[in-house]
Amino acid sequence: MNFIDFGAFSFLALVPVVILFYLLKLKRKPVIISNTFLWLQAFRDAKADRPFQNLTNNLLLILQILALIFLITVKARPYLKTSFQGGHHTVLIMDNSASMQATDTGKSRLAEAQKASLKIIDQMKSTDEMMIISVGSRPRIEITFTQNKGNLSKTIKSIKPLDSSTSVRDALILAISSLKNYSDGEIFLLSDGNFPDLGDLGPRIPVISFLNFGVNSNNVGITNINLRFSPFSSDFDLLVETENFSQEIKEFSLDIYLDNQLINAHKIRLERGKKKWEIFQNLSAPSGIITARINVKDDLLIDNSAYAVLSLPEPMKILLVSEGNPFLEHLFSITPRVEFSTIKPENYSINKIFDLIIFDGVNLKNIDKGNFIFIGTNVDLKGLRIIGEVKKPVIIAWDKLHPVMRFVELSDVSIAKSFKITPPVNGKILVEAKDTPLMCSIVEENLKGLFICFNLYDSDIILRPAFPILFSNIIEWFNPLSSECFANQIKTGQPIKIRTNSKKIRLTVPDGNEILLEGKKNKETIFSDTFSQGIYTIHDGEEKHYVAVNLADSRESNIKPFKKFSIGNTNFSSSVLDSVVQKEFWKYLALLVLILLTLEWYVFHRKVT
Amino acid sequence: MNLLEPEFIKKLEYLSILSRKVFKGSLKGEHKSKKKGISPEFSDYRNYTIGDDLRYIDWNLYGRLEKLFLKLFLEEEDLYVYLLLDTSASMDWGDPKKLDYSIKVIAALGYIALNNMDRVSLMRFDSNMYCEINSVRGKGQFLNLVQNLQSIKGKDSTNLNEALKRFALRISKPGLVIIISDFLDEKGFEQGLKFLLYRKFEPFLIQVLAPQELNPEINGNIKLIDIETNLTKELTLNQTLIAFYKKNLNNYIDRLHNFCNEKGYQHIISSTSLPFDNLILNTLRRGELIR
Repeated sequence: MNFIDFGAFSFLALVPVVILFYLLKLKRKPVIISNTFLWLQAFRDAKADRPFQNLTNNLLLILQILALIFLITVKARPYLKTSFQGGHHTVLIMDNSASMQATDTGKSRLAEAQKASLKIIDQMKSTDEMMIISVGSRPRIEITFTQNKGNLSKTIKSIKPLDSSTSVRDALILAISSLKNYSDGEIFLLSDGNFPDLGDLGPRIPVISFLNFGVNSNNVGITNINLRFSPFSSDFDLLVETENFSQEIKEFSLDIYLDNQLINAHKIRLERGKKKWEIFQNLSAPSGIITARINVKDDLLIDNSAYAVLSLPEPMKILLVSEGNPFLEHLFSITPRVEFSTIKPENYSINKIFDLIIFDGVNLKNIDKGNFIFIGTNVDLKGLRIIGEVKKPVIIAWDKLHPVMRFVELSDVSIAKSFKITPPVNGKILVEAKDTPLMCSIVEENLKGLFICFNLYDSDIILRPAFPILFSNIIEWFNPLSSECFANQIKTGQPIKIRTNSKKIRLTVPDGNEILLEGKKNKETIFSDTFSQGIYTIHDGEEKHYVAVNLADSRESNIKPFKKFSIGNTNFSSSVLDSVVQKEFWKYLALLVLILLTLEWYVFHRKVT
Repeated sequence: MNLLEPEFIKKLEYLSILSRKVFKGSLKGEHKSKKKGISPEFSDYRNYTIGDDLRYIDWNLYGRLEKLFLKLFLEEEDLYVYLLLDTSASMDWGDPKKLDYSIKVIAALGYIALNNMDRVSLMRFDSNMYCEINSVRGKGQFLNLVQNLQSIKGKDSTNLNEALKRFALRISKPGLVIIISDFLDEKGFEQGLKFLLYRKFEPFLIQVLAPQELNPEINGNIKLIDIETNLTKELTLNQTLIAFYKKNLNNYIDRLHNFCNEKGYQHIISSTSLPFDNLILNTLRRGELIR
């Protein structure tokens, strides 16, 4: 006999409580009588007359404890492992995540699971119904409840391995809700147990038979890949993380290909259970497909390679409207990936080709759309009004959490004079003096602005370390491209968002197949079947965009099979297919509890009357 | 409190206390005496001696035998009647209370005895013996008796053996001892009653029990509290236990009855549910305590 909810036995702690209750004085009705000796004698006689009197006295206690123990056993949900007997509704959850591609059993784990599934289907009786859910990064109902074994077998065979992580929790929730109307529901979970903690799935969990696949954890995988701009040049750095999940030391080479041309390779030695970041610096190509590949013999192939897309963002076009500000001009001229120009205020006209316009000490009337920085500029903007001037404002606070103010130290900054302003209606104050905000931001649908209330020449900030940091932050804040530089890299299972004006979008998936998608004007087109690792090519007219889709999942690469899992306090162990069916018999125990309680009532009643 | 109804008292006028033994009285009364006297009841003859009352010479016998014989008659003397009332706390229990019932019995018997010129003593006992009225006679003492009875309250625990022993040692004049009690004493009664026998008393035991003692109507989870000792016992009463109780009570009563039979005592048992006048006029008559 096994128990589904072994934790229920913690309720055995209630047994002493029952005994305590039993020991507690029963509230007895006091009755005054002329003598007690005849009663005492009667009591002794009654005791002597019935040799099992002591037992009878404790019979209530014994019955109560027995009832409690059986009740706890009911809660623990005992079951017997028997052969498949049918007569119920079954949901078969097939884990087809990346780790199920491991070939440690000779064939892939998924193939083993499919074989076991077919055996289960074969054991079904004609009245049994089965539903099949495959689960990669999200669950998918492959076939709903049916008695048709042929269709079920066909469905099982059609399940393909995915290069994604697994979401068994969602699959179980789906299965449990599908079975909620059936009292005889049962779930078969076929997996390597390589999934995150399931947490609590509610009070009523059907019988779950867990079939585990996999025998060892011989795998080394690329668990992360990333591109970043080099801080010292306009080149890229490539970061690749590898991890050894096997029980032995692994030595292998990590090769980097650019458009299928080997451009770099590192020799790596990894102790068991260790991981390591490798950095490949100064990839100078403006665009291309990067493939990282480890040459190692292990049981999971899919995580031995990973992809990244090199593409330089468009440089940010910045216009400085100023009578002349050598500090800003110099700063922007040396900032990488910035196309900088200046113009005199009198020559300025509304121009939408710039990504950012900086007004330095000019008077402005109407500002409509765009990205702006106003430095000591008189402007009427969304409720922001200049209402006076403040001499020597003292900075009392700044919002260190705002991206613009990150790492900016203003405590040593002095300001000679500043505008006194009312902040914009939906604005956010970033720097504050006693009498006025000194810097505030506003973000609306078509407007993003930063207002600095003082002229840079009226403060010593230009001489402080805060100055380059502040403007570096400002450019990053304004330039969405800088943060979306790696938007063309996602994990398997995550959707690809395509923004285009074309009505038809052609998408080439890693296996070479082409998919036609409907384009939506001014809306994103979502492609979510990204279950294969590799490069997805979006053909937008003549242009091509690439998206690198990687598994890059340490949990999936760790192919060590887990023989147990738990839902809440309930533990589930893996079963053997030949005796996989758990037959619960708590109902009989519940009936026994009822009988015991009835007997207890009878004994009590008989004792009293 | 009017202990006895006038109507009932009238019925008592014609009754008298019977004693199976003949005791030596001190004054002339209405009971046979060991002494030969002048009552109408012939007893024996003896030879005439000088100085004898010539009126008692049996002249018929002289005619036949020519010898002077003196007719001897039984002397009728007063009877010592000791009324012993158990006033322990257990008597102050029941519905109606055993003590109230017993007081009425005592009053009735006292009246009968006083009316018959017997010497009546009233004593109450619990674990000790207390003399309330000592050896009075004549109806005129009835009021005294009633007043004494009315002042009696039930309290303390019983010790029959000790109380009867003290009575026997203290009282020198033998007589009829009417004991009214429930006789329910864990320590027994035999020793005390034996003392009465040694001292030539004639005990008459009236055992008064409450109907609630004879047929308990309690059950369930109860805490029994002994009215005398305040001892408690928690029991879950059921039919079995009640049956054992009844059996034990009957055994106890039988034990008392057998003891009395063996020693030649009279023992009657009465439930307080039995009407009091019925006890006096019927039961005690049948028990030959009164005539």
